[in-house]
Amino acid sequence: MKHEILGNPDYGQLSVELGPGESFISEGGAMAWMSDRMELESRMMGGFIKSIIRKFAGGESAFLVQYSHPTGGSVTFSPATPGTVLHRQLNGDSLILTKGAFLGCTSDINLSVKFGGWKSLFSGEGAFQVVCSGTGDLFFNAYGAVLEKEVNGELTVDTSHVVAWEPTLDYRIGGMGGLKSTLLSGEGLVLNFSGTGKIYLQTRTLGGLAGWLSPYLH
Amino acid sequence: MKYSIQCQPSYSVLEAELSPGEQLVAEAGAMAWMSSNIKTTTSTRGGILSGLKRSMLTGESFFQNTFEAEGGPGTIGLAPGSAGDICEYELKNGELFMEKGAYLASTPDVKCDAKFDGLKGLFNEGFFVLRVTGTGTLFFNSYGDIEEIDVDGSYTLDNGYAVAWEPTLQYQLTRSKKIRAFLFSDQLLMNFVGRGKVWVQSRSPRTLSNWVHPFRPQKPRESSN
Amino acid sequence: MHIETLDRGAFSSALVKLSSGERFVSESGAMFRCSSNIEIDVTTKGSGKSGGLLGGLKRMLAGENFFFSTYTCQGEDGEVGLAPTLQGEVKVIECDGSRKIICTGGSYIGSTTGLNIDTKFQGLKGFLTGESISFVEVSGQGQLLVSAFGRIVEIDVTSALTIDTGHVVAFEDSLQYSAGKAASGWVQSFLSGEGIVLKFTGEGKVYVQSHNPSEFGSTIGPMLPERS
Repeated sequence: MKHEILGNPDYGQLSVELGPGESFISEGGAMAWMSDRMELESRMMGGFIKSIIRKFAGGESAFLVQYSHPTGGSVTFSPATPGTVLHRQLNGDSLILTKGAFLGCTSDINLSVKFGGWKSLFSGEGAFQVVCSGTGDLFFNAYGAVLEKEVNGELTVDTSHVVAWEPTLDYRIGGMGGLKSTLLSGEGLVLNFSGTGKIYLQTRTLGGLAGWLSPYLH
Repeated sequence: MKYSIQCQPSYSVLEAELSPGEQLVAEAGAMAWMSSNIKTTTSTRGGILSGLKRSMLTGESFFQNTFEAEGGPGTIGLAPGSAGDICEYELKNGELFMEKGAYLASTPDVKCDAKFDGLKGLFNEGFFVLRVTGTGTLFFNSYGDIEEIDVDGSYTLDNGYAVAWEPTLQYQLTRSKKIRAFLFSDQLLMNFVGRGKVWVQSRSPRTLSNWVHPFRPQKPRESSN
Repeated sequence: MHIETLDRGAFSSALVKLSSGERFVSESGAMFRCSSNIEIDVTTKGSGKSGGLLGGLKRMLAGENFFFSTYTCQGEDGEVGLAPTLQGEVKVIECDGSRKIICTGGSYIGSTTGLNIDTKFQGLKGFLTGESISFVEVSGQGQLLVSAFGRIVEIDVTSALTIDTGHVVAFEDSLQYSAGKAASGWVQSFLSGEGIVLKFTGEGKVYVQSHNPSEFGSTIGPMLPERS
């Protein structure tokens, strides 16, 4: 399988070229264009119940799609929001993705849904996380550009800017300083990451876009 | 304060490094990440009336956050709500006008207020803009790409695309002079006259708000009985 | 006349440079900046034979505006900046008159006066594309300006290509298309989240956009306040 990421960071896309017998798994509905006679098969992620949870709590589609082609062909995928597409090769390690970040993977990657704890329900994002592990290629997407931050110590992050992080990092959900700032700062809850590891931050959020657009609506 | 504008031009963010005791003011909700030794203070900056004026009339936030590094240097990243670019502007006892929504952040001696710009022409119920004054660094953001145009004489913009302009420029709200266009087009134009800079964004928030309208949830209809 | 595309990032616009007496046509309201010697007018008759009330109504069925805006340069050289609604690229397509170009819902922004802007009824097939029941048909010689949501990719179709609905910007009329299911069965097509796709066959160019506007709309829409 060959892959190419095009158009980053303005409007990133993933193009995958499959040989005969090879397959690729993507988020449902992400295909933009593809070779003729491509074979699609829908799959559930980790069983029926988890798929349903993922759909309603994680904001992702319940089904994943497996693509293959008898003689070889190509598929181009687009995330729902414009921004950056990222690639990460997993070699037995894992990566945690937030809501809506998963785009696609090779078939040897394991995906499982993890509940982030009751507190995470109030954080808006990240109540359900997708843990990606195994060996293979993982692709995920972000709204806007992406900054990769190496945390060594502590970092405070607005919840909706988090796309993914390495499981070597610990986090707790907190407010912005005092009660007044937590309630009125417009930041809501933040995530305090600690430890050593990488975190992927997106430079725009859908909530931010909605908030900015609201005064113009009629 | 050291700062850099990263990820330009489409999804720009401002990253500032604050020395101990140094402050940066930002619109509410703009913080994306920060070191854990940065303290946040939330206030209306200039009283409730100033906050109300700013939020009701220009769509800016009622509260603003002041970030300060404590006990050592700290880093903070700020992101605007809309996709687009960020510009910096140095004020020395100066003045700059901005369209609503354009304010992102500033050093503490820069003041941002709402200003009623009067009846600039017919068919218009008045026009509120942001007036920025003081001394320091101002950061403003655009929706879309941003272009700096040096006006010498006159230049016309569609209403909704001007981000900021220098006070040496005057503007008038107009319509096309052609009678058909006047009758059949709702295009409102901003005609800038004088000598100075105007910053223009390449997309309009109003046009986007019209486009997104059908995707918004429908208000449940009240039953009539 | 010269059309410059300003594409520093994800929000391209076009800057049309006009000499005295030259004219350019755009969909109504696309102008966002111009020098003050540009005369702006609106008309139902943009260029070519596509005028009148009926032309305007037909364009509305194609997802365009009822009116065109026209810009005429008076006196010295002037410029008109045109911007689409969504973020994305704008592209100049050179039309040599040998093939017609079909623009799907809303992608037409402007054209030089030598081009005929007409509409072509697509019926149910057009409706199924997620676009509109009618497309804009461009013929003649000149420059055509189109916009897209995201990046524009030009693909030379030599036999067949499958494109998801919502990704087609424009195509040459030497191509045929049909609406069909994405997977071999309807259940699988529905479950895959792809539903209906377009199959282009024949030989010619198709211009596709990297992102799907209605998918973006349905992602951001629910986060916005209710409409009255």
